[in-house]
Amino acid sequence: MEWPLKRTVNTKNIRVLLPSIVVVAVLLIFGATLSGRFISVRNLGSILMTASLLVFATTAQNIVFLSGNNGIDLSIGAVMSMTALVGPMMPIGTPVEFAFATLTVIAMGAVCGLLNGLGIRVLSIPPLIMTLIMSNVIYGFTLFVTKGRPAMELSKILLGVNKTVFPMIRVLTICGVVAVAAAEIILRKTRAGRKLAIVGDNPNAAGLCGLRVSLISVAAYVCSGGIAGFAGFMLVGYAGSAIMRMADSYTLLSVAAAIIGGTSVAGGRGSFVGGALGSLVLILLTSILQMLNIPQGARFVIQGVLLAVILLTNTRSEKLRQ
Amino acid sequence: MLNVLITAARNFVKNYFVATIMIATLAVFCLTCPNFFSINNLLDITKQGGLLSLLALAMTMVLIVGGMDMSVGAIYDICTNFCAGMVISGYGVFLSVAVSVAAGLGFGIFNMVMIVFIRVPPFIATVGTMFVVTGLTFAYNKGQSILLSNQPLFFSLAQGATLGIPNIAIIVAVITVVIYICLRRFRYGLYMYATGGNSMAAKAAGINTTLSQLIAYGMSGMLSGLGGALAASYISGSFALGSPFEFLITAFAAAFLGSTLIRQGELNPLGTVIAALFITSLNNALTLYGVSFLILPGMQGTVLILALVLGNWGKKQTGQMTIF
Amino acid sequence: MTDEPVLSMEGIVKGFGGIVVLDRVDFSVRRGEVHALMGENGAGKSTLMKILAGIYHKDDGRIFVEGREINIKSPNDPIRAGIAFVHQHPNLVPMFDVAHNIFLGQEPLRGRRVDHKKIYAEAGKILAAIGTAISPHALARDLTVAERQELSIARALSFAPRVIAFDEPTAPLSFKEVERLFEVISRLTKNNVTVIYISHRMDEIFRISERITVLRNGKSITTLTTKETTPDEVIHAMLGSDIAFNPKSVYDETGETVLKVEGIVTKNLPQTIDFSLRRGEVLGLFGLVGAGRTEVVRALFGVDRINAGALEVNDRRFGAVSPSLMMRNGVALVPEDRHALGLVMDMTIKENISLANMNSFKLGPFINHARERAAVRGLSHQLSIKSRGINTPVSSLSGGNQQKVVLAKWLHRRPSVLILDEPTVGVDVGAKGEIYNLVNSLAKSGVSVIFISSEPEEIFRVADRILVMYRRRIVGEFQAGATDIKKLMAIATGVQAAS
Repeated sequence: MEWPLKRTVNTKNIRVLLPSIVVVAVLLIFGATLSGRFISVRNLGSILMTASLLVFATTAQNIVFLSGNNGIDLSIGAVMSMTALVGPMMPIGTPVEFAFATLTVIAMGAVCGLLNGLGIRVLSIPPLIMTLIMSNVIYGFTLFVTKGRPAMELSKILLGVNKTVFPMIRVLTICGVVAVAAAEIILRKTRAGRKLAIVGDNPNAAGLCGLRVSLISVAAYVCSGGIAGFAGFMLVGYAGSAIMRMADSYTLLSVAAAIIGGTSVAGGRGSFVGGALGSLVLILLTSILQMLNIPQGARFVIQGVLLAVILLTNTRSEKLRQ
Repeated sequence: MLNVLITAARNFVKNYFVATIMIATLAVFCLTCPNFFSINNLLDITKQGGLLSLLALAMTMVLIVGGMDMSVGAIYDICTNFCAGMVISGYGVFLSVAVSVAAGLGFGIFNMVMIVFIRVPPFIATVGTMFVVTGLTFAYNKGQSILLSNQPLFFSLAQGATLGIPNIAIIVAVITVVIYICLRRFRYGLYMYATGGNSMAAKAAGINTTLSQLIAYGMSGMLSGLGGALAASYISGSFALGSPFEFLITAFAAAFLGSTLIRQGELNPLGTVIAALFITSLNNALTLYGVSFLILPGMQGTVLILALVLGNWGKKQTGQMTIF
Repeated sequence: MTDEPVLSMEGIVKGFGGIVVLDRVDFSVRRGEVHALMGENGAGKSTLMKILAGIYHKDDGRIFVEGREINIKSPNDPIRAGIAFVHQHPNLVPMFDVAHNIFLGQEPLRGRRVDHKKIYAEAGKILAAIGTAISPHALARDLTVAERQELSIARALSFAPRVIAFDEPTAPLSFKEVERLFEVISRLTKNNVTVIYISHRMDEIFRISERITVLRNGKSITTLTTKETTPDEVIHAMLGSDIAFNPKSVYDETGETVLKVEGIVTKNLPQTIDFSLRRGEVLGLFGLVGAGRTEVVRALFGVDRINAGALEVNDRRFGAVSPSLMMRNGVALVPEDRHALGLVMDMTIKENISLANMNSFKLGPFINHARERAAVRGLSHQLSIKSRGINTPVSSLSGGNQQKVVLAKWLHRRPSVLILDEPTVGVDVGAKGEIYNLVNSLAKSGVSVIFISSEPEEIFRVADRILVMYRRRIVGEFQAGATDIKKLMAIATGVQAAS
């Protein structure tokens, strides 16, 4: 029985990414026509950096979407705000301390994710509600620990994420790219990634093949929390300071970016590269609107409408497919 | 005689476990916190709880038909702004409130169209609305809170009382009773529960599930709008920009906690309002205790978890959650 | 009971995609009688009923109710004509109580208000008419399966029907519950309501029915009067006289036992199940709807919890099992519903075959793609899976090829026991043959196979030994060559105990 050699990369996977790629290109061109400064190295570098932060959040959200069972993580923003505020409270003068602090914030996020996962699998609370509740609890915790005070004095190492390594590429951007690449490789090339996709797509079949569905589902939330924890730490390095609830918008934006990137909210299908592209689309959009000097209010409205439209069309076409 | 009482008490506890806990908690508050039981405090609780009740009722309506409305908080916010803005511009109390409610209804219709006719999953659709509405709020108030002063008639709406009973309480009570009667007594109320309970069975029985959903989302919008208007009256103005999630948890908590108060575990308006008042009391008491307000958000989350676990222990799912 | 038919279906024709499923079927029932509708799987019974229920549209033919022709376009039409249905899985609103479920959509009103008192009163009357003990205030979600069926019947009665059709009603019921159902049915007929009774269970049909209509291959074969016929005659009508099959040659029984099932009891199998399986043996598990075959499989693979008894696999004894435990001990399961349980439809052939085998393709935490590809290609070749390549999504494959993918997945593990649950459902004739051959060659190479089927010819072709199930018990065991199809059917429909 002869059949042609097929490569590992499915044409289907790429086809899903096409719309995002096209939109990114369109936005770039549109921005360029508006102002030459738009495609300047500095501006693009800044855009990439901002997008990288969203990319972390989107990657976390993607993992949870992939795990199925109506998975969603509405606590990402809360976790990010938490580590953005609490992270700098730890000593991070030396590289060793910095590494330790990084591990700690990841662990904090992972614990939040663990609680989410347990609530969802053990107590059978729908993910939407559970993560929503957790976000509230996390805010309470953050408030309690920081007593409402913002983070101000930051170590140079942390601020180093802003450093330019290559033209257009800052440290933070590199982190983002590495994260996406690692996540995508894990998804496609490791057993753990494959198991996640199987559990998300058809948990019954997964169970009958001996996969431990509950464990994998909880692990997804733990990973999401951990990544969000790390992202919060990067956020405070990028911004230079942190205040309560500063990462609020990341939660829903990460949902939007993941959906734009082609991830299915039903589970099992999606890509991290797509999520990165989706993040890029959103940040480019914001950037262009800012450049057009549209008053902030109208900007919000347009963003909201466009976002709504994109979400609607994406989920609608998926429902039609079902 | 004592035996009869004890058996009655035991039955009450068994059937109304959660209610018992609530009563006990309140009793503890009354006994251990001197200021809690004062008239002024209780009136405050009633007013704040009333505002919260409207949002919780909005969420309850949508949950009954098996849907979800993430935009209630946002609609509440924008209507607070609309109402305050109109009052400042001199449009008079009645018109301002009416416009707020109408705006809420408008957003509710927007939700309806997306969910029912374009068939977008309720979560995504209402999140989309939340985005749009938040943006509109910003556009409307340009990031500034609106301050009202010297509007005695308007203020009396939420801050005043008639015959000693706070106006908010009267309004909420009337609305709750009306909703309760409509749900129990009229066919369309029953059909809303059927749509949420098993929409396939409802459709097979010839019930118009689309109409049920239309009613639910429309009412949700209107209630949020009314809540916003009353809020503007209560706080004498509006906030610049609230967080989209702020009221959602409390609304959920009140709705689900309220559902555990009746034997069958159904979502019901009366239970929702009682739960909303209880949650407000909880916040209030904790503040009086001197517990820093920093803990409060976490408290509500815990309450919601407990409500979900206790109320649904032994049942298979958490009610009619068809989110996606 | 007059002789004039209360319902008459004449010359019903129905086809799907070019295949004729109903070929000028005639079916009529008289007022007040219990009329059984019988036939093998795929004979056309459920299609006929779905046409009557308004779920399918007939291609040709006419339907008369009390002499007047009616046009059935939607599920509301039969109800208006006085025909009600009691389905296997009734659609109820779980949080409503019994009374409100009965009157869902047709609530009595007082002015504009729902008359709750009347709902409870009327519900009480209907429930009493059925003779059930269910309270109108009980919540639907708290009811047992049998009680839900009674609720279904009550709802059907609320439409004051002339005809009620029951579809396999006794499949999920216990012995006592079946007796209750018969009481209900006899009350119905006393009130001149006609009952159409679709079932496989010969003993029940001979108990309660007055006439039996048999369908075979989409044609109405005959209508017999129960009192004047025998189960044998019915089976003959169901199977037809032109049975051509190739019974398997006798198997050498000297292999050692690989699987022993001792006294297993689960929540779905209230009475103990015992059997054993030898190396290289193909054990057929035969039974009709509701016999309990899938329940046995679920117990074997650890999907249902074992409440009593034990399993012995390759001389290791287990009181509690799980899928991964069974897999580790060399047991593999190809489930009945391959869409929901066997395959991940969005994934490719290669990914699906790896589903249960990822440990054999590992390279640290990574997937050894080269090894995976090689293994998958090998299996594809071995099983003749026809596709555009191992990276095509399984959703684009034919039923037969999909089934082969599921088989390949398990064969890679070289199981010692392979359980196949209705493996040829939805599979074309060519692939069916290939699957039979595969089973044969596996058995020859020492793999033990449990083959579950409800097609007599198929089971005679593949099985060395056949266990027959009826009402969740094993009621017969014999060698393939030592019996005939008629006897098999008789045992499977409860007519006779095995010799």
